[in-house]
Amino acid sequence: MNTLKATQSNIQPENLPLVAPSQAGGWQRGWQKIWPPLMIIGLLLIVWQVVASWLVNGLEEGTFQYRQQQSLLPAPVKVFAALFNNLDVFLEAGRATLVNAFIGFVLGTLVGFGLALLMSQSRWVERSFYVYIVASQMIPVIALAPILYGIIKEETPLKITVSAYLTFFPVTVNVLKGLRSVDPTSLELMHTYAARPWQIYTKVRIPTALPFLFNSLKIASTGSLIGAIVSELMGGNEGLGVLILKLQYNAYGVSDKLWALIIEVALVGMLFFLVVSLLERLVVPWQPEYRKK
Amino acid sequence: MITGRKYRAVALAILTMLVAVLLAACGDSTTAPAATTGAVKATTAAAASGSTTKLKLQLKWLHQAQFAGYYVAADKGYYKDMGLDVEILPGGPDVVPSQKVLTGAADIGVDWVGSLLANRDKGQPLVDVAQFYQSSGMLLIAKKSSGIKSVADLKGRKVGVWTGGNEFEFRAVLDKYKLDNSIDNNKDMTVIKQGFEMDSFLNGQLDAASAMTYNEYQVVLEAGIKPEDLNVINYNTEGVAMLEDHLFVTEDNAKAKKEALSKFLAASQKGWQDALKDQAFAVDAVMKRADKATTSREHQVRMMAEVAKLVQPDGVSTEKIGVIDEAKFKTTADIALRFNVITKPAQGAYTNDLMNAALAMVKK
Amino acid sequence: MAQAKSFEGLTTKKYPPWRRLQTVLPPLLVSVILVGLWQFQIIHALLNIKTFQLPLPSQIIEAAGRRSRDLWIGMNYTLLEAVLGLAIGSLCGFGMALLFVWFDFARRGFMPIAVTTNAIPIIAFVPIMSRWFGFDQPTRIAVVTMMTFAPMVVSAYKGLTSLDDNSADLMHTYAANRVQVLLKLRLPSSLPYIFNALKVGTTASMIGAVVAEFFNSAGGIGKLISNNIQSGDFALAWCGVIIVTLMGLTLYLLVGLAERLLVPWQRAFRN
Repeated sequence: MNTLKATQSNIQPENLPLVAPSQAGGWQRGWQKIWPPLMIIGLLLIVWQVVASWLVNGLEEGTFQYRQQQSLLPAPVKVFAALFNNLDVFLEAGRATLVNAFIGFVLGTLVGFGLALLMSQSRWVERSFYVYIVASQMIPVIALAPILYGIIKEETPLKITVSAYLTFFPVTVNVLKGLRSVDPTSLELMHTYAARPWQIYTKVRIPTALPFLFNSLKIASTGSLIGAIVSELMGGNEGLGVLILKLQYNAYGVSDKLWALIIEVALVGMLFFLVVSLLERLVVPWQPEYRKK
Repeated sequence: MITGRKYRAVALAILTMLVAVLLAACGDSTTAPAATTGAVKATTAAAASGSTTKLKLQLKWLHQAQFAGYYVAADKGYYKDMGLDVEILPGGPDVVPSQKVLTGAADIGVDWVGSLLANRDKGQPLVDVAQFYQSSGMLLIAKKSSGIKSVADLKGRKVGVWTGGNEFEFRAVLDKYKLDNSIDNNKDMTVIKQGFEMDSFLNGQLDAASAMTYNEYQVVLEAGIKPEDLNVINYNTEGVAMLEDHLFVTEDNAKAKKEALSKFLAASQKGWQDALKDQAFAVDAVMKRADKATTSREHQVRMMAEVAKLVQPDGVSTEKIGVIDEAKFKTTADIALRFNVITKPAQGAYTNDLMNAALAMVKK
Repeated sequence: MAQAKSFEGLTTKKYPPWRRLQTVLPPLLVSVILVGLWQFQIIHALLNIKTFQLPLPSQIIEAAGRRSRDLWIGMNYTLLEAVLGLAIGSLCGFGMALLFVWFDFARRGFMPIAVTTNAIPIIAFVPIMSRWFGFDQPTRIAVVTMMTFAPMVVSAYKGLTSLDDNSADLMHTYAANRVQVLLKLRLPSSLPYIFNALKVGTTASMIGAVVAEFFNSAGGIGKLISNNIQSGDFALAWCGVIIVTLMGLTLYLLVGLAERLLVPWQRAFRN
């Protein structure tokens, strides 16, 4: 059944009547949500294994042609084996990157939020700096990294700076939009209460901006992680980016470790994203998506 | 609207997050974000007062047998005996040792002489203080099936070159054959930055690739290609081979930190001598630092054997390991000038002062 | 009627000239100040860096003149990758979101995957893409497509399903079928969200193309920047950086302009 998520209630124009809220319990609902994507992932893994096996069909292990196929598409069985065999190395790299990305993420959010507040207050400030804020994100940070390395000589502060740099932009843009997207009726209500500007902010504008903030935080979480990885690529000594470079160093055809690392990077990204989503659930539960269907 | 209670809950959540972040940062083994640009200067200044001197060595590539001598010196305590605390920083495709040394992010760097000369030509005040690789090991290889037999055949093809300091012998040979010798503008051929892997070459995405005798060439052989199936362009036979791995510092530091650097060289030389004598120990030292996920012991053993041939080729005595051979240096400088790697003759690019001071220390 | 006239004057695009100046002058002033601080090395003094690390604007302009041909070729090479990748990724993303609207099972299966794909640092995929597609533009187009696809799926779906219930009701009373609902209700409501995703996409596409070129590329501005950072010609590298920035900005502003024209009713524009 199609569901249109409306702002106030659930109405499907194509086929009323309304759907009654699900009577199923929490666990059952959770399972219903999880099994379709799990099934798809399982299918993808099977397809991957089949294709990989087909590619090396008939080739002898250790020959050049065999290695060539392995270089292009290693079998998932081997990839996951490589992941578990080298878990210590991978986890250590993941920790080094994730911790710094997270610190940068928090800093960037604070800066972004503050900037948005500032810009919502003063049109003049907004007009002066909005273009630069947008432009700042267009500067390929990977090109700035060597220069920043020359200035910030230590690896960890550099990673945090770059992560914060990639975080603050989506936060600023979205929070600003949110601070401005206030329902005019609410503003009028505030006016009838003779509310002071800061009260309007705390009681109306900021709560309206919170969904926008968390929307941007989801994007920013990936950004901060990319920032950390990119700064590692340009001369770091530890972390996932460094490992991405190093793992290309393997002998020909031994690409299972590289693929295992890429899976880990994907998982780390997803983990970060899930944590932020969970936070969103806790702080802004009134959003229509979270209401019971 | 959010009530006061909810506000407190949100504020508390944010506060706990911040605390968690701070705890994570402090519990992290790497330096807290308090490191400033003054930190490096501060530590070395304090060290000059007689306590352990901190030095950072910036390698040119990943941890591998190419730098065995330094690992051996560290593991056998030679640096410590000299009162030095040496941090060895691995390099990578985008790490430029000269820039790290110029900005103070490292004190000593490993790089190739061609690169040093080009940098000095640009006005960068760097100087070669020790030459551990007395013979060059870079090659340009192509599969026989590609039809590339000589440099002239590279025209219009895809060639892999390591940028960031390793491209100068390549550029010299291009100039020798009257081809455009910039690696930027793809005029006579497409030059692609090569990384750590030979997969692109083996899969046919590169027509010709750069290879070191001690590393990538071995990787290709290990992949199952026989030497007969490869065409090799050897820079030595082409007469454009330049000296490669050396240690360099800024001109200022060569004078200001002469004592500490000479001690470093003395310990390093001992490290290299030991590495060549006991290659098994050297490979152990390498494997301790190289990620076990990225290389195999066998590969490093082969690499160590080849590296030994370059560090101590015929005619170089054990005591002379690391000492800059003036004649060889002049040859390199002449090649660089002749094939337009540098625009004016090299002056004062190297000095054996520190090496001699180191040898004097050892004799004591 | 005089009041209505002045109201019209403010809501149409014909702003009085001093209003236009108010929009343009502040950023211009800031850029002049910035360039001044830069050229006169005040920034260098503040951050304690030398000119070889951060070349002066005059040096950058000189480098631009010196290598204008290579910069132009590289610019077109990278622009193609970014725009094509953005177009393909956004179209595919929108198509997928539409599929989700009409087929709930597809949504339940693929949406969580699409959402989490959004969270994967695509940088990690560049080495594999290089192995599959080589060193030319297809690799970067593939990377950019992957980067812009997921945000569009999420935003487009949100937009296509965030309907005002009164309008939804109205559609039902008109007995509108799926396509009519799509064209008359869902599409217009989704436009703000789609443009949001497109704006995110312009940043992602430009950066993605340039970063992917840093790994190993046969051409493009990213390759130019990478090579010249390594060989120490920072002035030329900064030329490339500025060109990339300007390209990204232009793309962003174009999308913003399209948004102003196509979705002028947004609440955010009214305040």
